[in-house]
Amino acid sequence: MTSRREFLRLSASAAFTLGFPLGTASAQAQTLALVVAKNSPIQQLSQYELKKLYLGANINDPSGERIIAFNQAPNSPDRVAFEQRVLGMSSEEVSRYWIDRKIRGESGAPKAVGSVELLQRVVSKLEHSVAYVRADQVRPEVRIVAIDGSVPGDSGYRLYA
Amino acid sequence: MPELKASFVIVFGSATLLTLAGSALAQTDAIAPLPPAPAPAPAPAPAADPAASTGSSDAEAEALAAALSSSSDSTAAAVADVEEFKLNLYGFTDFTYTATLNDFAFASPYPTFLIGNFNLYVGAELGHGWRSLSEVRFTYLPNGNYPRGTDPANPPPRQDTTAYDPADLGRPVKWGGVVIERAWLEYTVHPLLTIQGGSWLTPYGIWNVDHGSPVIIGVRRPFVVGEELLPAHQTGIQAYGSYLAGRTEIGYHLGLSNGRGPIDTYADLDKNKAVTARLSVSNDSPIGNITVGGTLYRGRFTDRTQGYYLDALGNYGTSYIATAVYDEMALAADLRWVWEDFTLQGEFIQRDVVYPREDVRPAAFASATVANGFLADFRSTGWYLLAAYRLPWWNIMPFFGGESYHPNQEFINNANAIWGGLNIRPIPRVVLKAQYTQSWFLDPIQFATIGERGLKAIDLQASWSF
Repeated sequence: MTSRREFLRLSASAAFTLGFPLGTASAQAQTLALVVAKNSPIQQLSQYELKKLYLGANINDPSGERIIAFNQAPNSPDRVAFEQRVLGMSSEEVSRYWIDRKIRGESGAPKAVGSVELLQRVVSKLEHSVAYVRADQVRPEVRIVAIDGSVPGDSGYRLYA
Repeated sequence: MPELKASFVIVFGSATLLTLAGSALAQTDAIAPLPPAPAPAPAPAPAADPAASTGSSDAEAEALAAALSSSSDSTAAAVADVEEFKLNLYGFTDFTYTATLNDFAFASPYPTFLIGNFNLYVGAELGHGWRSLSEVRFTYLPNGNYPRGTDPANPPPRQDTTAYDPADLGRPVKWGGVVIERAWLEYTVHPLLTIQGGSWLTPYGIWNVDHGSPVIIGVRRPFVVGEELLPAHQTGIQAYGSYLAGRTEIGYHLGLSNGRGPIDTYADLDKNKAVTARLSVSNDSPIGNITVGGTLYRGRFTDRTQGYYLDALGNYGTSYIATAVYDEMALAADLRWVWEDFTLQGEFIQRDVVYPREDVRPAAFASATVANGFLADFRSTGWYLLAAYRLPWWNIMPFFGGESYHPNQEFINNANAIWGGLNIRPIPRVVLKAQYTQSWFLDPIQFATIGERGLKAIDLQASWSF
């Protein structure tokens, strides 16, 4: 039989695991932000462009250079959420998509960088690249770009994990 | 909904269940918050990023960024540079069991297993916007094959590739062959323009581009696709690109090739290059993705004999005597509608063949319905339509479709067919298929056959990518 203490511990664990907004956990913590280098010409992308970009399409930035997309590590929570929200696919569907695409002879998936910190450092050095990270993990060497005209914190922002 | 799930978990869940539920919620719920602590970085993608597994120190980040940035004007090339020119080897194989269920003159009555395709891809990002891809198919052929053009009533012995293996005491071994499916080099100038040269798959329709058995929904190609009213492969150059306008993507292909010929992969036997043009429009909307495309192919087939001769002065010359010439123009239209787990696709293909030279117009064979003489110009048409829906369990996808083929050629009956089956993808790299096919000849029959006037067959296939 579960004691009250055990029940409370499980409840707290559940709230933690499920990400309940405990205490001051802000909306920022629930949000994924699209980041680019400080000197990037990319000012905004539409969510549809973002989807196409992460599905292998060639999308150019305002300077005419091809945008390079970077992914987080496979099966990382942020990547799973990004794929669900932006691509509209589960991880398995994404796997099928890239396998099929390669058999058709088309290009492969965006490069993945395992560490969020390293990912942003790489993006900060490549002015034509983009990546997604949690809004509360955005580092000073990158900046957030708008998606469909909205940035994290705006009421119309839709890129939640 | 998230509150309900959470309550359920809080009351009834164990720690393990909590973790699983939390993970599931994070994947599927748009408004559920993330766990506050940053997730530890899992293992990186194998070939994606050499630095990902080495931690995130400043030095590593600088090294990676430096590698990414060095010796390149474009980031695309820089990303290729960091991979230090790695070959990307992958491919697919399929294994099929096929059985004819009725007495049909043009299908073997003997059920059989076969390895149909064992295809290996070699791809490489060469840097600075350059990319290459080669695909070869390993086959047991030509062993056991009958030479093309053989009188079917009096076939010669099968081709026998048996050799004596010096590595095994001279015991017999049968060698097979290699089919070069494609081999090209391309350079991307801009999303609007990539230039590709080499041997490539003709960019028409859906089936020919999907190409590989793990991608194709059914087991058998629709007849109109298999008969290659447009050539499946071409050797030459093509330009392609796409433009994104809102949620609509407009794509094009323009190709110039040797066209079709007896040895078109390495020699054109006339001066008429074939032209391929494709335009496609793809739109995403609340009712899914709809892609509509149209392709035009125009070319000349020429076969020649090549010989040497001496002129009156004793000088050597080379003669090229045409033995077969026809002009062809093919039009293809395709439609694909993907709405969540539902797919509808169809293609219509038409091909006109004209013999421009009477001296090499093929002779017609006499039969019950065709008099002696010469073949007429002809138009072949065909279409297929396929519907499929992927169920949420085991990725099972029932599919059903139909086709019609009107070759309008000598000794080939017009026919219809229906087929249906299951495409099951238990894991992304493995596809299991079962298909039933039934076809029937259409009146007027050009020639009678013993047995039934159509095929009933079942195919079971496992295909996998690696």
